[in-house]
Amino acid sequence: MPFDADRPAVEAARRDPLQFDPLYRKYVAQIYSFALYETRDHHAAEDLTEQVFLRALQALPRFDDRGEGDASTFRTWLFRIARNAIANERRRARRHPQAPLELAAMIGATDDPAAAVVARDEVDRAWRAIARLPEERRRALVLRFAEEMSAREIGQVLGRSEGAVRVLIHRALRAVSDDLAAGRATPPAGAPEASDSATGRTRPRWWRR
Amino acid sequence: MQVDTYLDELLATRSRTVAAVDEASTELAHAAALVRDALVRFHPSFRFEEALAARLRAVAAGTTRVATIVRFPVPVPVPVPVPAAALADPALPLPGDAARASATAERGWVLLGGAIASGLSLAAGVLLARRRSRGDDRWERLA
Repeated sequence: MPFDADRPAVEAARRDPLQFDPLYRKYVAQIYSFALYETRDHHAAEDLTEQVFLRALQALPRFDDRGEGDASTFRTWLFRIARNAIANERRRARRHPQAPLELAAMIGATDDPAAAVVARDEVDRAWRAIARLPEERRRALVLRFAEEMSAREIGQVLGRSEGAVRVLIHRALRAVSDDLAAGRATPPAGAPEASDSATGRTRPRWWRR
Repeated sequence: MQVDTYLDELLATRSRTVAAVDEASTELAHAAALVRDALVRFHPSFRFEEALAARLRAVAAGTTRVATIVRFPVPVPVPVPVPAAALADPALPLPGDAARASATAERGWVLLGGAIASGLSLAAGVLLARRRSRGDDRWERLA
């Protein structure tokens, strides 16, 4: 059974639901960030975050750290709830598509304008490369680099083995590296591109997956 | 605690002492570093975080409920036991027949009373309208 640093807090919250607040404070940013990467819409991300924690609070008495045939931590359990909520939101969003946020633009710039431009350009290229990845690879990268999860934890969230997650991340990095090296901005096969009428830039519609 | 040594090596900033430089690994390490810098953690607004915290506290305290769909209660019919004698002779009354008969009679009287009251109301309204149309101002003077 993996070490779960949240076990004391989980037990306290089980005895008294009002003690759920420390767990919420610890993971609200992580769940929100994960939801924002998936939905590219901060309203949807807020709604999903709310759903996840309400469900977690209600289901906490049934949470078993022995997991479903495999040991599970509170964190991976929470992210599994988030993944399921996102899947439901995806089905709804297919019926009501919205324009996504340019998340790269939300990352703060440094005080050096020239360096900021270069950094922004590099980040933008990296974002485009990441956006062109298949859903599972992109999700694995987000969990690994944005949420700093281990391969084991990612496997528990995605329902894959640890080895499969390592392969997934390696292939994702390889695809990003090749994309950056090529320095091109081609759309994924079979996906129409969205045109930004204000700037004339084209953006891939990967969020519709 | 298991450590993801493979990716940690890719992200390590220490210089390599191996003579032969693996160009593919270098490119992969560069991509990993770029991805690490690009994929930051976003934080929700303070207002949202506090509002959700308050809602969770209210739910935990039982002062509010998460919306759930509750099926409209439908009365379950209760079977009434029928005496064997009644089954043998259809002329004999079944259990509950007397109660049903009196309830039916009461409903009839209520409906009749309601009809009469409605008729009287309508008649009064028609009478008032006719008198006003003839210029009878007694009702206005009373008001």
